[in-house]
Amino acid sequence: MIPTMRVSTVLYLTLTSVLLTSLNACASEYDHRSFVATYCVQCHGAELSEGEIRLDTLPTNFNDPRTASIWAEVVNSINSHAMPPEEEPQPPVDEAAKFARWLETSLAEAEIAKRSARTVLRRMNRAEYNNTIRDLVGVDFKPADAFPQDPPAGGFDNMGEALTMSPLQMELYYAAARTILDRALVEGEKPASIKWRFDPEENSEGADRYRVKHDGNNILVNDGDNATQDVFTVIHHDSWNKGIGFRDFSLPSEGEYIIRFRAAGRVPERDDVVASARRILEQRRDEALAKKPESLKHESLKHENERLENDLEHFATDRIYDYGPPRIKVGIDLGGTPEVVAEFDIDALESSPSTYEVRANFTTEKAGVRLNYAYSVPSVLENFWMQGREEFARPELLVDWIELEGPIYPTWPPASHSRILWESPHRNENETAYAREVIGRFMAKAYRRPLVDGELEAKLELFLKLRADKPSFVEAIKVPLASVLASPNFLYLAEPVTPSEAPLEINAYELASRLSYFLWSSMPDNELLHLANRGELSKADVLESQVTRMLDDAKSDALVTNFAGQWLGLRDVGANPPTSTLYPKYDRHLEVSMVKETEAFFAEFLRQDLDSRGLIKSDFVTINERLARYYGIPGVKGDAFRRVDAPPQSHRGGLVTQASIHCITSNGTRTSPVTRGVWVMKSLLGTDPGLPVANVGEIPTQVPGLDKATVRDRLEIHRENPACARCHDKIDPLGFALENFNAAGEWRDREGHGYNGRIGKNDPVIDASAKMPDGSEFSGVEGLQTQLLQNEDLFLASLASRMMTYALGRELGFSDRATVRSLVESMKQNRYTVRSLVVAIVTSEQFNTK
Amino acid sequence: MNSNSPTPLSRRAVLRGCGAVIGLPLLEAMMPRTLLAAPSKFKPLAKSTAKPTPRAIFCYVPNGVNILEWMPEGEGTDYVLSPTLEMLQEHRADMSVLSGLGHPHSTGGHSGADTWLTGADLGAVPGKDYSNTISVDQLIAEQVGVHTRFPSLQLSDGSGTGGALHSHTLSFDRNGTPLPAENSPKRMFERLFVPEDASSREATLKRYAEKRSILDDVTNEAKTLERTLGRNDQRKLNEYLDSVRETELRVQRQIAWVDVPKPDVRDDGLQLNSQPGNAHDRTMWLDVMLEISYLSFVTDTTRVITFEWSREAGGYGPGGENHHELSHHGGDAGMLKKLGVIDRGFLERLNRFMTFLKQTEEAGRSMLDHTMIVYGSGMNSGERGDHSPKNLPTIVAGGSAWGLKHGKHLRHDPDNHPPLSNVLTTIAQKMGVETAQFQDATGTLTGLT
Repeated sequence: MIPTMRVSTVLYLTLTSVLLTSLNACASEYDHRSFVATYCVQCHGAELSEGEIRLDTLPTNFNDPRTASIWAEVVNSINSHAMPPEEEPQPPVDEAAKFARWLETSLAEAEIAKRSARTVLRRMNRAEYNNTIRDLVGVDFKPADAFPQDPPAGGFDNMGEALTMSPLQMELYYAAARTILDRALVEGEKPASIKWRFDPEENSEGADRYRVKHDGNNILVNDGDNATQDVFTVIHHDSWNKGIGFRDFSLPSEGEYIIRFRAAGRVPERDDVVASARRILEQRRDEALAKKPESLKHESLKHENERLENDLEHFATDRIYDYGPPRIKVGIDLGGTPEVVAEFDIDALESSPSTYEVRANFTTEKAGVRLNYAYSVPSVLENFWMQGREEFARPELLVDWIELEGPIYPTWPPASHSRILWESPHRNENETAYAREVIGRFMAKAYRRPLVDGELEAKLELFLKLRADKPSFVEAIKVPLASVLASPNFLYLAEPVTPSEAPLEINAYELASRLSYFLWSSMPDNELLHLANRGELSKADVLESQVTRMLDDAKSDALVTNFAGQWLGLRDVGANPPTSTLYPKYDRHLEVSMVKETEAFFAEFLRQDLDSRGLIKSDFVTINERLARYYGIPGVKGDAFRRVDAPPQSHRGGLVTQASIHCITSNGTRTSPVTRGVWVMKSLLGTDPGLPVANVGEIPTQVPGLDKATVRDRLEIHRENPACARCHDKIDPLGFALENFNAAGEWRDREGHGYNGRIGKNDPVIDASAKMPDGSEFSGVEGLQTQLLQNEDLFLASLASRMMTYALGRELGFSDRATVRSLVESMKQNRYTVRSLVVAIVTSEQFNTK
Repeated sequence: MNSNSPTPLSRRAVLRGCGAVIGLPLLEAMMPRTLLAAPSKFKPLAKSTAKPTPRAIFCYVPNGVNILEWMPEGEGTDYVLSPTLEMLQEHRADMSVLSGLGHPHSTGGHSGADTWLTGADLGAVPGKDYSNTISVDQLIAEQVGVHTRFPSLQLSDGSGTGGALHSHTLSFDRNGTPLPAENSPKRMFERLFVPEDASSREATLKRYAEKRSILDDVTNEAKTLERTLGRNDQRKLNEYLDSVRETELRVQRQIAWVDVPKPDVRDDGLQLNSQPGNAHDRTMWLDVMLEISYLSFVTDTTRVITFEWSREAGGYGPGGENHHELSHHGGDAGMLKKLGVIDRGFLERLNRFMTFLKQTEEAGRSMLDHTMIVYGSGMNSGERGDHSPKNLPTIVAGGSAWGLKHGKHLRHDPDNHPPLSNVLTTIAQKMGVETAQFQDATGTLTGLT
């Protein structure tokens, strides 16, 4: 027992110390003077000030920009081995590393210290704008998606300092305000609606398309080159001639329409797959035999049969044939521009078809609706030539009729209209009084606080000024309301305060906004505003119960996608996807699923109040059928994400086992252990290893003298260079431990060197062992997880500081460190839960002051 | 399948014809004609009626080039065109090949489009992960833009702005905010050339007046708010106030254009339905976007255009190839060869565009003499698939009427070269902008004027 314990203690200490040098090692403890005296002053001293740089007298006041820039130059020269020059005595690697590390830490500390530790006036970002419009106006069409991307800082796009304003954005805010109000407010009678039904299989003209007349449109209906069975068009696979739908029509009015269709799926069992493949392979065998001369037939038959059985093995064993239900892709064309509206599983069986609905916004432009088969069977060497044959068993999509109905208004006028222009006694009596009511109510909600003197009057004046020019009250009221949506009190989370040295407490309404933008990425609801109004919100128990209520609300999905999505880098999934030739199993469905897995995983901890250390290693996964097939976990049916026990042999359970993370830390063709190591350090351990010293280019494809060089072998060449090794010796091992996951997140035991990356019998076995610079060792993903768990303080501090950054909308400074420590303490006293962290943040001094 | 369907060739027919049962990729010939764009029938004008004026178009291709087949031999006027640059052979006298240049602040990777026209140090501002500065086209547009209906145009194969470090636009305003680009030829054509309803003049003027009232109102509101804020918050609010003020000026300019009709341009022969995301349409889409650029110039609808032909780390080559994948060639000869095909495909499109300009007479010279073209990439994939910001492939063409000197290879040392901003400064000056140095420039580029 004792030796084991000692080893693990040593491991703990060494890993911690290596990772912490840049963060916690106190910069002032190091004395740089002897290094400078030994290696620098010959040229940069009193006698010779090369390049007018004298280092023996250079002060260590890193707050001075000029001094800092000279030291920055020094650290770059040391790291890139430009200094000392080759002909001069060279410092030992570890001494140079210590010196460089001291400089980097000191410079970083000085830079962070200069930043303001106060939350600065923050503009809503795109996600917040969309959600706020949804909650304020009641129209949900994501107007901000057309705005420029918000610049991130500290890894998040809700940082006040970075969220700038430009004339272009002002134009877009103005245009969006007009569009939003035009959508929300209506006049006149409810537009006439249409309801068209098409039966593609009722095509008696023999062609794959025919015309149908509806409301003055001569519509082209297309049933594709598909078989018809009973009432169904049966779509076997996707191809240019297999899509069905209708087009060449113009709708009488724009708005939201329902595309509705009756459909079912047919999913072959494994036996069906093997049987169908056998038939096709037999046909190929017979064709091959027919070409042989009679004398060779007997020998050839034996050979061909062996080959057949051999090829069949793939169909009998590969997981890709554990088919799920067929998928459908619904798209529309508007004015010649195609757009995918939805993509989902058709889970109804042939025995009980179901009706599916998709909503889409149409204009009066020339339009079309398309339904395409969207299940992808990975195209591999064994099946690519037979996949498109109708006799090949694969999930089949059965579509009966398709309808288009709309524009859809559950009520007239729509709810968005009645919410703004509600029934009031003044409505028909006194227009100006009614305008005052309407503007006042909308404005207070939009500004998230009671109005102050004069605010309402200015807007009313605008209304009166333009009223005579406008044909109706509705048109006139849009003007002041648009002004509200373009005003700084709406676009910014304004927190007026008397300037003072000490942080001041924010008021209850400002607290309500901070809370709701933190947990919902949206405006506060009525309950929060009522509590603010009654002065109860800042009470600790009220705050805590509000956190519980808000996290239980579906709107807290925004915290999952915006916080977890950016903390872990999920927005990068798909930016540089695995190449299809090398990773044929990677498709759109998988890509979407892997993002959702990680989101669902974080949501599970948030909603079920779990121990956050489980984020590192858990005994469950949150997956759907698509991922279950990919990961080889049996018994998961359907596209919904759910918690499932993780079988130990699956090697899954925890963030570092998730395909999303493996993909964003690969370059599309191969894994990148460096990127993986950096990801682990930055995201889970809160350490930034910094940038490489120079652009070193792609790692070589080959290693001299090695027949099958693995990525690991190829990286070793880099590390022979001491300039690289200084940092990479501690980065790369963390990534090497994940080498069993390929660039698409699939488990592998060997690194493939065959055709298109296929794994051959003699290909190199994955070496997932990791050795840190101090000699400590661990191996594989499980070894890495153990290491991370032993460093739980680093992980908790990383999670706490990331979430606090996101909550405050500003980057943290040195003065926030004590708070981060207290957040970690608070988690430890509360079963390490994510919720306890949220509560600790919203009750912290930083969150309640400005 | 019906034999009358417009499908030229069924898949099975192809398979039968081959006499073997093999899987074939979907050939272009098998796409139903109705869904696809056809080659352009567009013809340039013989003569331009526009007043000769300096114009500039900046064309960006992503993922670098096969630099081995790109770099010309020799330098000065005696240089030998490389296999790739051979595509522009007929315009040799009207263009210069610049090698060895780069933006010193650029960090390489796939962020080239973000800095190609700005030369910015994206990490320069403490407290921001990313910040950009004004691009040279916007510097130009600030001055010459007042003369045209559209101060500048932004074209790209991805609409909008894209994300930081993967920009879909080359243009950034004075605050470093990306200007969204348009990728639909149809929408672009409508914006530029389809007349507004004549009866709506009054309505348009009213709309502008209303916008000004609202801008006045929010300005007042912002000034009231300003008085209640702390100093840091006031600084942030000033960005807002500045933006409102600038928006107001723009409205004034727009009002001035209300009574000027749009030029009479027909869409004959233009493949306005070409889709940038459709591999088959790729060439047609590039062509039609360049045709629209040509039409914008010849009608003096704008004088400055930026055009990102394809996105970094994604997007297609002119034949629908996976361009990004090939840029990680690692020195592989097969991949380099394919890259060369892409590079030449792109230059073929450029060549066609240059020929249009060359063929159009304008005030006794060719329109090309009045139009400056900067073509290049913000990345160099080198000999081994590096993603380096050094030795960027760059071509400058046209504009000889304004003093650009061509017919040369201007070679520079990739490790000791003038900043690429010197080229941008040269173009800005020739466009009439009085600037001694754009961004980190040390002057104009020697040899180009």
